Amino acid sequence: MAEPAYTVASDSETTGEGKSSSAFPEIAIGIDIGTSQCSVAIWNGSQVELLKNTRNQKLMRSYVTFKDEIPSGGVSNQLSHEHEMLSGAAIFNMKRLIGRVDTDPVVHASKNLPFLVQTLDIGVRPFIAALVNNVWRSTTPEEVLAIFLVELRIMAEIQLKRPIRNVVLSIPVSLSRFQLTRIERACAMAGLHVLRLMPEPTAVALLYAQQQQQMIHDNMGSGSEKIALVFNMGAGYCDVVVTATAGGVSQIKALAGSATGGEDLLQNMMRHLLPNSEKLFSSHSINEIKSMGLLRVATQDAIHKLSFQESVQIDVDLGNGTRICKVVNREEFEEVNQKIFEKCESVTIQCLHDAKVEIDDLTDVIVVGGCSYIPKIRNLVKSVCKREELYKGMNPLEAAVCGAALEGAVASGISDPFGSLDLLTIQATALGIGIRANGNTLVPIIPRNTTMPARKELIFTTVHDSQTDVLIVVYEGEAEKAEDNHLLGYFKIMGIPPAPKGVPEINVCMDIDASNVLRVLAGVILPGSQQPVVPVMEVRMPTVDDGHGWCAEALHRAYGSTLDVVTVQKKI
Amino acid sequence: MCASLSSPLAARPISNFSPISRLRKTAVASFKSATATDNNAAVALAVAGSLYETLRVERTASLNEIKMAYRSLAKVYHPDAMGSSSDGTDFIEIRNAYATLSDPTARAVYDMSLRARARRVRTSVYPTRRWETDQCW
Repeated sequence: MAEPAYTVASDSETTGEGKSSSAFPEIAIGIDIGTSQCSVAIWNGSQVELLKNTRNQKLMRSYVTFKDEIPSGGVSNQLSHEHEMLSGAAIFNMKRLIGRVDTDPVVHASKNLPFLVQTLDIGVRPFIAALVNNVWRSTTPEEVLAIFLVELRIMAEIQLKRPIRNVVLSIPVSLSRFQLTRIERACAMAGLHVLRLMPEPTAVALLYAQQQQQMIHDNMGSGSEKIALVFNMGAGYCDVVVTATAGGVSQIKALAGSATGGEDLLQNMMRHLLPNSEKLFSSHSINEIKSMGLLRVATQDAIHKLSFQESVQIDVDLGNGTRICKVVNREEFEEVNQKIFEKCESVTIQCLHDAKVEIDDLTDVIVVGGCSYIPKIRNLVKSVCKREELYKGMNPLEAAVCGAALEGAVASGISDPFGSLDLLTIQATALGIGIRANGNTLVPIIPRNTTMPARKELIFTTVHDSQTDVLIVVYEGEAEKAEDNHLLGYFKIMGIPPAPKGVPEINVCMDIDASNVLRVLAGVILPGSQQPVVPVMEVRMPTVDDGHGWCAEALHRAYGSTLDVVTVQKKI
Repeated sequence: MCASLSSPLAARPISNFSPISRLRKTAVASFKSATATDNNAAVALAVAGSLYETLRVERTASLNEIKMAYRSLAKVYHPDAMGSSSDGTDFIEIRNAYATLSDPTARAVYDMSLRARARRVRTSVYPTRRWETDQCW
């Protein structure tokens, strides 16, 4: 993705540098920032290699501790014990919080994490704080992510012995464009330039494409088209794509995603073990945070064990007079989380449906991510795809970062003498984009699963006689009611010459380039003329910065339907 | 001619604003046949100005041939493959041709319109404009 405006100056500098040293282009690193774990990988000239931190770990916990003056993250910091992360001083799960407003259910679900997530339910960013020496020190998800990214960058720079600037970041499918700008901002704060934000399962799909190419090289596979379903579920998100690959070219046929993950399984289980847990922890005192941390660790441990054994004994003293002593079996765990599993199932079914692929046509079914170890998850994907076996050629915890590193090498223009990087992924849009029209409905202009780059236009018209101004409000999402979607921005077209309603043609064109940059263009034509009557508006989206929960409401209050537009019925 | 509009990007997508679109299109088409010399034979066999020409396949091409043609063209014309010089217009055109020709129903409808167009061309100077061709500009 292109850089946000505030780093443009440095961007042009680097472009200059890049040209001078084009013989040795800088290879972008791939970063997978997971809700709970993260990793960094790079193309080392012949294959993808995961970088290790000083403690020889390839997978690092995603958190930042605000203990002393200098915050430290999971890359450099050594936890003496899991509980240290749950003392109130550590912020984690930032990928679930970034770019969300305080009315978002995902933010509300984060309120019983062992740090402070305060909501006012008015559509602004939530207040997030870490407990440092009995003081709530405020921070933001962007800041936490940036601190963490700096640690990752330094780790990579030490190992690769060169400055790191370009990165490919894997991201969840369901993030809105506004959330992506927050992630880009965090990267910019950490001195990183985002070459591409790649949905996690499409990164896995790229790795799959490379493996299939490799097999043809080794004369083991056929060159025919292979269709794969990739299911990726970590702590924060559940994502699915269907990809068709042949000759190194992968076409993403459909994507689907939901903010449903291991964190939800964990919270349901915590509620199951301690039914009134939310009330008990409502005031976030030091002792409460300690109890909450103890319960969290015990529950997490139990869920991990339930992936490999039928039942588990939980025995934990929360230190406040409550002791939980219980045997939980797998069936119980699956029942408690039935809704979550149903959601995963429906996301998979929807993706298959959108891809217009019959399950018999699937060559491989790939299940990756931290939750892929849960038997129920594997079984539900197998049953939806009517498969006995899942694809075995990938490490479930490393697939996404390997794919991101491959994309990093490809996007940096690296070529491999053996053709291992002769890869192209044709991406598709994860969410539809449209404008508010016909009253309060979202009229999609670029539907979801449209191949990128994409350019589509639709004609609208005025609703009042002599309407001189129209308001174009751009939303992203699938809900029919406009305000139930993510607001991306709005602008007015002014100075339309007086004409009866329905006469001026308002042409709204949306353009998404291969780097996923969205531009909205709007112009007005009067019948009998070929030229626009007012200058065409070209707006790069999203334009909203903060408090976008309020914006749509305020616009509605101020203007009602006076600046509305309606779609034009196609004249045949 | 592009210079008459303030933004070059604005001129392209909103086809109705710009009478130059067809001219530019010819320029792009000639650029394409110059770069992809190995496909020249296919171009000659395809109907001029049709989606088959865009994909450089014959009218009788099988679905597999169409898919292969799309993939090999994507490797050349996708903005990721072309670098920053491309704005994706060529690829969108290829993509739209593929979307129609890879769907048996849409292809049948398109083939019918092609036959109708072939008849009309003799009587009229202006060929039918379709959304596939229009929206690329």
